[in-house]
Amino acid sequence: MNAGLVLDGLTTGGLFFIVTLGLLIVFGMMKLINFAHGAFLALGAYTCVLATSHGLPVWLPILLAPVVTGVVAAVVEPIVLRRLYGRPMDTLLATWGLNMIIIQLITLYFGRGTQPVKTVDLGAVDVFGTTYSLYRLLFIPVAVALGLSVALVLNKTRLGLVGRAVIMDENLAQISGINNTVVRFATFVFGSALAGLAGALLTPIASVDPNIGVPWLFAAFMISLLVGISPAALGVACVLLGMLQVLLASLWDPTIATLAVPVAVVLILRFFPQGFVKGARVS
Amino acid sequence: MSGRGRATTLVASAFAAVMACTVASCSSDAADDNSVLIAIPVGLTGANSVVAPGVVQASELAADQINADGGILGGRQVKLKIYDDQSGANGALKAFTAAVREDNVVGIVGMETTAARNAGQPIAAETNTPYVYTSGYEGKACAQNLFINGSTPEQSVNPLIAYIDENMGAKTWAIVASDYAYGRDTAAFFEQAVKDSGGEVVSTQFNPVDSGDWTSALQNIRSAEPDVVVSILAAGTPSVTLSKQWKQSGLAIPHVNLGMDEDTAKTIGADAAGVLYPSMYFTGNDSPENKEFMQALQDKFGDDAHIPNQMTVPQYVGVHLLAEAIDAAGSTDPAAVLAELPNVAFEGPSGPVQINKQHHAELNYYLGEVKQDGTTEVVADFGLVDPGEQCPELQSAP
Amino acid sequence: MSTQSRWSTARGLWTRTGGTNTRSLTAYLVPAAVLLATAPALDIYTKMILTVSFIYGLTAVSIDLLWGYAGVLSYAHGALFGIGAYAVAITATSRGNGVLSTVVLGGAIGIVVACLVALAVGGLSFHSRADWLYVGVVSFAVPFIFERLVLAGGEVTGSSSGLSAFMQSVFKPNQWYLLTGIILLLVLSGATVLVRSDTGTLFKAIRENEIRCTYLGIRVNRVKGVLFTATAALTAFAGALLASSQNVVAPDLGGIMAATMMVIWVALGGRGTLVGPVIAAVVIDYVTAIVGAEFPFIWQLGLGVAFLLVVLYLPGGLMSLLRTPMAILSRRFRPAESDDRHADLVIRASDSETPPLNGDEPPVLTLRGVTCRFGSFTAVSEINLEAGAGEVVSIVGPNGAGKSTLMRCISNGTYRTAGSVHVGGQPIKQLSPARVAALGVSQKFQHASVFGALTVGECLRIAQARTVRPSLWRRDRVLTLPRSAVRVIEATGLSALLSERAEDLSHGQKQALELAMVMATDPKVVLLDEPTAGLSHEERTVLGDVFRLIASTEGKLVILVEHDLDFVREISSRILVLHQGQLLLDGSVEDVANSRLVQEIYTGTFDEQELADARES
Repeated sequence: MNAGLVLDGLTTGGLFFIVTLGLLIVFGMMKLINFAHGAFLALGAYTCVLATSHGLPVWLPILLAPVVTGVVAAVVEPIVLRRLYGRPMDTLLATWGLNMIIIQLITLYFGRGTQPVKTVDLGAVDVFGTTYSLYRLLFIPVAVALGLSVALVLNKTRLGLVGRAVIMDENLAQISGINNTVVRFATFVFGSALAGLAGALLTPIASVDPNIGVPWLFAAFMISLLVGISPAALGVACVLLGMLQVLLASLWDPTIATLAVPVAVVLILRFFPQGFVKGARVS
Repeated sequence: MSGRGRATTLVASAFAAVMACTVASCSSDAADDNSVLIAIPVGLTGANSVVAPGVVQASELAADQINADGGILGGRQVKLKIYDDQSGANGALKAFTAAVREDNVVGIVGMETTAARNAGQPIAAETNTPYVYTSGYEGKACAQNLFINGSTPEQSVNPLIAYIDENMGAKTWAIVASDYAYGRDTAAFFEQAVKDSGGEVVSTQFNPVDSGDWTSALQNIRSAEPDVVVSILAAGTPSVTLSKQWKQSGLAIPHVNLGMDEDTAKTIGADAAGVLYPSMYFTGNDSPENKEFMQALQDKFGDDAHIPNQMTVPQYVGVHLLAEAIDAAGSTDPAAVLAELPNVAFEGPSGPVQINKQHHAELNYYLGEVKQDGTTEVVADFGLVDPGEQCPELQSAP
Repeated sequence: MSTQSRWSTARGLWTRTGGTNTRSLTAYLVPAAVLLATAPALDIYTKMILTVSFIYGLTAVSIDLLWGYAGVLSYAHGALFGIGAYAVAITATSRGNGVLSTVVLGGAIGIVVACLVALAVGGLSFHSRADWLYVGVVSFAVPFIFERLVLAGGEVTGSSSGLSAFMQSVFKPNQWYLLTGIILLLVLSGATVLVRSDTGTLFKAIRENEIRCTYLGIRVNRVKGVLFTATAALTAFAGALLASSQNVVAPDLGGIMAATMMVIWVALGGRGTLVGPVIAAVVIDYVTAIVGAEFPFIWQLGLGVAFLLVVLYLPGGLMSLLRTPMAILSRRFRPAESDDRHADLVIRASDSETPPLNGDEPPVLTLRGVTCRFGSFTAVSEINLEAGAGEVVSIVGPNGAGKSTLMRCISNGTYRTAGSVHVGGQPIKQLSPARVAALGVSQKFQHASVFGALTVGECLRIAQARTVRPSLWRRDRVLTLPRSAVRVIEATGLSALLSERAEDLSHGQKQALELAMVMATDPKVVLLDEPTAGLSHEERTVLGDVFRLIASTEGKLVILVEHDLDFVREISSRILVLHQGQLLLDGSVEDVANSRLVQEIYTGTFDEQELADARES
């Protein structure tokens, strides 16, 4: 039983990670809380619906979803976000408006109900003395792979160097010849594409309806406030909070468990405004 | 007063006046002088919004058939008015106020959540307006003007337990339920019924109504190792998420889902294969009434027709019952109609229905099993099931 | 006091307090009359819907006061509304009778609980290390937590079904309609009085430039906390009205969607206008109720699009669209009118004398070993200094020497890493800028830091806010400022510009205004960070004279950071030379001017060894 609980916590943490990574990148790079993240999650999931209903094999939509979402983000960024540069509160409100619009458009076209979608059926495997869902187990390596890729790009590539320069000091970066506009554009597209990927990965375990992103969003916002732009810190935070939520749900009450993440984050931030990582947040 | 202050006042007053005039000119629909107006409150928005279109279609079909047959009270047409109760108390309040106080409807036939019913019923009760409640629910709702052809836990649960005892030899049970009135009450009822039949409930868990995360629930089920799992969920989304996650978790325990319906099963598809669920209606019912009903639905709505289920069919039956009661009473007087409601019977797609057991009705119950392609096959017929002692203080008709 | 003089005092008070604010009260009499007159024409159903819309109008007032005026965006108020509603519902359900006394009791409980929650949220949000994002996130968490708690509340809260049918008819729908309409108008009038008073000006100042407020000694966090709690009470009251009149509560009353709608109403209506948000709330809620069943998705989509457009292109909301027609209307009514808000503003110099110095007092400012490190970088190192009243001390040094940092270490107790600072013998320890300002320190910043949207007169009034409490309902017509401030105002010609908005002033006038604001706090120590930057030679001369006068006549200690060495030479009594964070030289004008070392530092031709030797001495 204990092994099952631990695996629950780890896989929940993995799922948190996958859902939050895109949000984190956008927040760290652009200092912007993207309230439209949930809508992009939904876009990814609905891409799978459309793709599988047209007979495409099950694994293809998982690759297609980030592309579709990335395209939408690429259209949206210059129209909505670019002119709000330097107005953080207005940007926050604008992404909220964007979220409303995208969700309502999805609802108008598909309806409020759940949509059928063909998904992988991997069944369960025996690990550590317990039988566990293979699909859920996959969250862990997927999260690790995504995290490593992002960390690699940030730390070992020129692109990442440019990104880190922008994070540290935008003005200086601009003077040094870096085109901030392009960097911000690319960041938003990439972060949103990650959201689309997360949405696609959710389809085997969630109901594909316009509100598919909602349960994850809140936790994702709170967690990304804690960890700046470090994928490693995000990993730690997600595992800890995932374990916390699972333990509370199993041993006490599921409703209290959903409170765990927001309350924990609010309290931690009160006493450690920088979050987990030193210098991660620039106020 | 300063110019600016005066300008503000002028604007504010002009606005108020314009609002008032606009609002006053919005008049509500006047009922045709001759038609009999029946209210259909339903959750066009909110949690029930997925089933609502089917409910509306079933109601409209019934009204059409009644009118085609010559109407009631000597040729008067039945006219329906649909009200959005937003699947909850707030909306029901507005809906019932409009229906009863504004539009003076002759009767109400509603498929609604308990919250909506609790909020709306007092308004209907004020004028003794007949209210036919068609939704399966947790039981024990009693009032002079309230007649219920929706199912009670006695009907969905008792024969089910007997079947599982006999055919699967189940001794230990686990319950997973949505955390709300229906979920809690029905789970409690279930626990008692299992105990009475000699079984044991080894685990009872509640999940928030809007939660899509069954990870912990499944983990606890796995460790409790019951012979059968019963889920008592709110309609729609919870069944979808539970089925999917159940499938991924590879649990091989028999699963009975009281909240499942044919439409949702079809949508979930293979992920729901093997799930059992009781219902007073399945599209596969062989009766001539059902075949006619499904054909009529197809004829009237064509491609837009929604698959009927245990939420839409009682609505269809309810409209027929109310219309017949009004006809039998010979007038729209509430007391007269209420006196006739226990006496009228209707042979519909779900079998014969008469609301004569303490304002509740005997219903024919079946057990269905979801196939690999998402369709449901009827595997057992429990016959007519008594609703139990719901309202002992109310009169039963013979 | 004779009747006559009592009457004239009363009349004087009336005249002084009258003007805009009694007009604010009467402005809403006409809409009230319209409300009463049109009531019979409306049907019950419409009145029921409008009752709810009016109640939501109350929440719009709360959010606008907090956000539009004080700049604090709060989602928490959605939950506070829910708390008020559930308090009434739970009280009525548990007592089993929904009569007036139960409603009042429930409402009172709701308001108390809401205020406690507001204090907790305020405590978490309004502190010096919190940025606006944290405040937003905390406030976002509150409705989420509220919904969860209600859902987990079982029979007590009715969980997802909510509670209903707990009221016995306290008022009929007709009466509720009129009652809530009148309450809305009363609250609107009250709020209008508040925002047009000096306290309203204080809110706007906080929204415009919070840091400037802090350095003027204003306890910004306390003001925000009080406003937050007051609006919490109002919002909970609205929630109680809703539960009592609608006889039903559900978890989504206080959830995130509800909280978001409140913010959307205010944004669409026009932040900071009160009337705009109320109209937006009433109209949108009404239309949503009517249209919600027919085409809910298109309506929500439309709202989302409107919201986005407003955020992108029309931050002033609906009211900004009305501004032009309103301006035309104003001119029609009083063609020759000018903004009468400040027409009769009078500046007076205070009579209080600066007590003469007798030489026994502790030095006005003492620094010992003051050091300021940022990570591995040391900006300021081991500065020792003693300075007294009447001195004009200039701090000079090449860029990056640490001059501004040193100044900050004096005005902000949390800034330095080591060492001590004493003002008039009192240690500033780790006190925040507001508390240090209360000890008698006032800093003027390098970039003219004033309140752009406020007039010069209002800026000066706010500068005094720490010592002269702003009224909750009127504007002071007479400002009694310290002589030094009046000196600045007259010398720089600001006295003719009292009705001008600060952002419309020239750069030099803004610098003068900030200087006047600084002097308005009657500080012992005046810190000026490059006060003549960007000024013409004339303006510089005027200011130079003022600085000297402030020091000599008013007995203040003036410390300034300057680059213009000629200017420094003219007005200073003492010069400090900083280089790479260390104090190189502390002496008279001649000492420093003749120092070869200083010349070398500025031209970069110095010798490290000489430098070290100089520091030893």
